[in-house]
Amino acid sequence: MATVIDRPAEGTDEVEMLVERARRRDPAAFETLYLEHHGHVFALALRLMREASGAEELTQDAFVQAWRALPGFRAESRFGTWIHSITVRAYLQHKRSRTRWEDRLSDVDLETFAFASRRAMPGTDVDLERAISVLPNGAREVLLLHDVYGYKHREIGAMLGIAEGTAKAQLHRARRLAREYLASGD
Amino acid sequence: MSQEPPNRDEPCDELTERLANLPREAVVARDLWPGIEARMATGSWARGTLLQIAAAILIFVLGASGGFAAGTRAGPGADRSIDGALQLATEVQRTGSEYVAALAAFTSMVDSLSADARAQGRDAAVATLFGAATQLASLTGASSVPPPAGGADLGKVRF
Repeated sequence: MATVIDRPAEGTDEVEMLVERARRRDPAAFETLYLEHHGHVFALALRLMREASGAEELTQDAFVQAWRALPGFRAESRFGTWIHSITVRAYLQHKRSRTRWEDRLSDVDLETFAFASRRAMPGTDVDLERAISVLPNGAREVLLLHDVYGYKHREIGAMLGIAEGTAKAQLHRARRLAREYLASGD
Repeated sequence: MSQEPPNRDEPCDELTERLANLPREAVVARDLWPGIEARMATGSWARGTLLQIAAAILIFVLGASGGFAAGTRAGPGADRSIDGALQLATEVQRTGSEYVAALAAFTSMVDSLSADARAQGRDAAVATLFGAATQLASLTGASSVPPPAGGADLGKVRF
């Protein structure tokens, strides 16, 4: 393992320096970026995949893809935003590939997911996590990216490869379904 | 933007408030870095090997197709066709061995590949095998090859 330097705050000159060093293929700088961001990536991956081992694999795939794509990374985008978009893209690739991921993505074991959520994010609103996890594909991704992670519809459309209007419609649908689920007390 | 409070382009209600307050960072149960680091080092090698596999498959398919076409054109009993057939049989054996060797190389490195790369390699291998089986069925007089062991089963081959 490479020597890791102290973890800097996102948006600082130090992060920009780390990104620049990682772009020039410095593994130690990339490891520091990983340490700073892997918790955020894993949280998103867990909510997308809805099970822990799949989320771990997705997190690894996202960072490997980020390492390979770093030479093309444009500094005007924040690294945190960029790695999130790579995570979403890797998730979409997994959904399309005809491997064991397909089986994982088709059904979600609510209790297993609730356990994984509690363990990974102590203090989280487990009822709400369950309500999100049972949303249909498409609606779930948009709700997560907009209402949990704060992306705009334009950004979500670019990440998911859908029109901005579709993202808005999916968000409306997702919120309605989530409210119904929470009201039913399942 | 990420890791900041969500944009408020519409009125808040209880649901959106609860969603905005969900944690955006999670604790990973195991150290993921060693796996990432290993793949960072092997990435370019893996892509090179995939290219080699693709090239071997292309050679195999071209060889088999060319052989089939040449065999169809050649008239029975011609001396030249015997030499040609032997040459083609040798070519089938050589490219078939290359296919098997490339597949073995791919299988040996599969743990270091992403799910997507595994799927691509598997699809290429299965498609080539199915193409060869179809030609083999013509050779042995069978009218067609049923999807091998049921195409669905073969399609589920896991590397």
